[in-house]
Amino acid sequence: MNIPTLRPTTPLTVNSITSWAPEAPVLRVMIYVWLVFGLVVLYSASLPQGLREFKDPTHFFMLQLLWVTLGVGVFETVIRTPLVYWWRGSPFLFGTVFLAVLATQWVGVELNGADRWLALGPVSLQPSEFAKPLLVLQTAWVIDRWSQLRPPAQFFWGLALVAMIGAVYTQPSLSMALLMAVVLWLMAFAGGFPLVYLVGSVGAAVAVIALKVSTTAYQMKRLTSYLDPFAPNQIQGAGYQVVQSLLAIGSGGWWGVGFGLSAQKVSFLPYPYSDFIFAVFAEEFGLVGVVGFLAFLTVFALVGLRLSTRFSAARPVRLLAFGCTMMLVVQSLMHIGVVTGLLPPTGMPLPLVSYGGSAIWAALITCGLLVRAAREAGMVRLDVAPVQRGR
Amino acid sequence: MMRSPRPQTKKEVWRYWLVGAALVLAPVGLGVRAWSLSQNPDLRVRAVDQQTRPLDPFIPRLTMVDRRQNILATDQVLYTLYAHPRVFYTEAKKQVEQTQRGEPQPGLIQATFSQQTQVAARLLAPLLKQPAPALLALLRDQKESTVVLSRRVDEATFRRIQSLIIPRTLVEDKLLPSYLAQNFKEKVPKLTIPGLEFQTRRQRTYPLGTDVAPIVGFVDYDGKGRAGIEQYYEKQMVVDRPAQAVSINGFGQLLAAAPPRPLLDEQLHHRLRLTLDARLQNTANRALSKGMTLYKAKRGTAIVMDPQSGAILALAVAPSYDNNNFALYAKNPKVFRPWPVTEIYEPGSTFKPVNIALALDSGKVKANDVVYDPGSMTLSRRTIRNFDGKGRGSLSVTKVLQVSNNIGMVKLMQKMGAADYYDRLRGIGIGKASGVDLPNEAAGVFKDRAQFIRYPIEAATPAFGQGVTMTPLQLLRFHCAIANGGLLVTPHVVEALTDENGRVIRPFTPAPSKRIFSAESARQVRQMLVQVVEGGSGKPAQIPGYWVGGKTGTAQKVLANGRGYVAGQRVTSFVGHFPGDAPRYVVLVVFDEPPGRAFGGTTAAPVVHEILTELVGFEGIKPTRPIAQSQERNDALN
Repeated sequence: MNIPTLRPTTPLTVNSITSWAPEAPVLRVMIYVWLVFGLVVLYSASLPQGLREFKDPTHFFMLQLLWVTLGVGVFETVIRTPLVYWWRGSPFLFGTVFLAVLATQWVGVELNGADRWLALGPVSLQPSEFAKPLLVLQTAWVIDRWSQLRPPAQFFWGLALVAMIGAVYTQPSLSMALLMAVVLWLMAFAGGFPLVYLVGSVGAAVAVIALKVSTTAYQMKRLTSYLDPFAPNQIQGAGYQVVQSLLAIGSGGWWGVGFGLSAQKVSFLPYPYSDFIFAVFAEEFGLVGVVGFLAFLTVFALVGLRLSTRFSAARPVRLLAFGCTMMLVVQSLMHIGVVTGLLPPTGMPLPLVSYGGSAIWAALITCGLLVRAAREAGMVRLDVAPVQRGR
Repeated sequence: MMRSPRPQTKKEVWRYWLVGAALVLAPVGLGVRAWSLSQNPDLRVRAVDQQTRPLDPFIPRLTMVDRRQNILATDQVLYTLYAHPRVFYTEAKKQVEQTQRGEPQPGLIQATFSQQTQVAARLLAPLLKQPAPALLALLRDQKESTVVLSRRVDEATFRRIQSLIIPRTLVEDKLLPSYLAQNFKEKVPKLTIPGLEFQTRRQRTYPLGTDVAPIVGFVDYDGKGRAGIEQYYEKQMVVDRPAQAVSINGFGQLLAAAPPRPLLDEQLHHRLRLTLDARLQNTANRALSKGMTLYKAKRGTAIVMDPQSGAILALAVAPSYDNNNFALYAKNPKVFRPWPVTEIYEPGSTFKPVNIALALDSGKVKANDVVYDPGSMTLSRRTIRNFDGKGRGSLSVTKVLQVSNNIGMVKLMQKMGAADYYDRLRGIGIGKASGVDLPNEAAGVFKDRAQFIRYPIEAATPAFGQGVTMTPLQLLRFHCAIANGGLLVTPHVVEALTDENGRVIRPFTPAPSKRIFSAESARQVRQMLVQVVEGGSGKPAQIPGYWVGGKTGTAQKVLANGRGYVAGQRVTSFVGHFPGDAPRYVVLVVFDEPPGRAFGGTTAAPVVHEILTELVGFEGIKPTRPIAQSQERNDALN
């Protein structure tokens, strides 16, 4: 392993370097915009639930604000941490999170019918959230070195990545596992894996998912409700959530009902502060708001893609940027897909918007890695290029 | 193994392009989906449907007042108090569980339960005015989940009981003492009664009850007017307000976000003002019921009308009913219809003044004419007699009325000619409804013109008020025309829609009056009527210091089918005009089937006298003539 010997190529202070990739400040600003946007939307979306459950309408918002404040510190730290350190610690972190995800199976706190929480003193952590940035980090590393690895090592790392997804999947958190699998697949695709393997893996995944969904009662129910949410036998059951979400979007119209005035969030929508937060947004800000956010997301995705096609940069950095972008954007799209009834209803929070400390932190770590990758992608010509990479 | 990443990655760029394309297409797809959803009106309709609930507010019926603003009918809030014995039990169980560790003993729970129910019963008994043991039995009835403790809890009692129900769950234990200290001056036992529940309802209440029931009517359990004004003015009484949509959340709770518009608008406080005078109505009722007891009649009525406007000032009916408890009379629904409005009768001699007025109008009869009364006359093979069968010889028109002479009347009417008489009767509206604003008014029946002219008997009987039918109210209306100088007024009971302070918002103007007699004829008849009371059959109606006009009536009772008469049964009546020279009040009292030899002068006239005496008192009507030396009251004759 030579990577640990690679000397840090950047100083730890930000301002001393001026020639970073232009995507870095753009992405950083966009992430802050996203974060503030998320707080604004969450504030309104979580008010009724906070009042009902905690007699404090701002309960969720204040906690989220706390997590975001701390998370911004994490974010800025990640931005300032050279990626080499991350990759140096990556296998260890990856293993820890993997074990933590497995641990939720036995000591997890049940929430919404799935064991996903790990109580750590006063705070509950959701290890599967942290699995997402680490999967990207580790995958970028593995793909970059894939051709240099011996078959046993290839097998080991391939298995490790799939096992992480499997661990998340067995929680059971099908949606999260699916998201991770999609990102893994996209990274492999972008990383240049042969199409035969990629197509084959899709086929295998579809088969596995079909088997799993058809044998798990509640997932099957959700799928059928997705096919026809307005069916009479669904309206009170699983289809209820989607129907409520569609009603929210439908009542938004062009300009929305106005900030804070969503009627659907008041105990009609399930989890208006997390899994269906976008429906609240759509109701309050209308089609204009929805299109605005989608445009924002597209720009964000394209900036991220632009970054990952800077072929002057080191490949793991590009892959990391690609993976982080995908993780954030694909999750957002999946969330919106669920909310608009295009995807089967699963618990998929909207990154940086939905309530949840672990999710916010994990998303901010992902964002930090992305911005860091952007910086290092631009730095390549200055200091990394002269250093002979690899052995 | 060395690797040069760059050349290899350049080849990969198409993969990024593909992903980029997907990342543009996916948001576009989602955007299109969002667009189609946001433009779907069905979704909006469904959303509004589940987010709102029509709130159909209970809007009280208008309050009804008499001409002096006394409330005759109003909507009162009443509460039904329920108790849930099982909740008492579970509360007791909870309390035991809180104090006891481990499995609570059933005996202890039972003891706590019985103690608590006893306390509750003792507290509620004086408030509900029910014996405590009866309440206790209800509270301990474990078989029932809900028992009704009282259905008529008024507002004040409701508040007092409510102060006993401090929900434990809402007031924290440490807050409870301070709550009690703030809200109660006296020391209140720290006691809460669980398992009590109130249900609000509106109850139409008639403060004067039976007194005004025949006119006011009542409202059935569905809130619909079923008799009297309540029925006739249903549309005006019910203020229509469309149901409002109020926001609710997923639990069906009302949201404060969009509270319903306040309902306290002007219109809800409008009042329906009646022409009725509750005081006079009470007088009429008392006088009538006294007469009913004295003369043991089957039915009776006393009506007071203002001849100038046709306003009904009092309409007493016997038997009547209590409109606060109308259900008690359900077996005899006839009682809900005031018979002087809804049933016809033959007025008998009280109709004679109307005939005289017609005859004077025709010019064929003069006030100073004289007719000869042979005692009986046979027409169409039927013999007409005076009530006593005696002939009185030559009689003036005034005398004919004074002694209520039938033969004289027939002869006077014959002077007019049957055709003229018939047309004149038709002309004044015999056989037509008066148009009073009370439901189910009956119209009299009047014979065919050809028959009337062809058979002298047909033209003869109406002369003394037989063979012609009308309701007592319709008869009174004709007397009003005599009293007011010849105008046929429309009787009515509702004066106007007013605001809370009695300012008229919309007057209910009755149909315009029509002249049916000349003023001169009416005046002459009035003078004769005064003579009837001064020196004729109407003497019992005399009031010292005042001129009173009037006419007695004793008619044979018509069979229900209208063919023939009920043997031996009579209808006695008296119409009074007061003051006799310029009447402001016209009073009609009718007794139906008083047994024995009853006459209008002996039964109805004293009642009219009593009503007028009280009326003079509280209206402060000044005497118009010196109080004469003892006016002897003879038993009046027909």
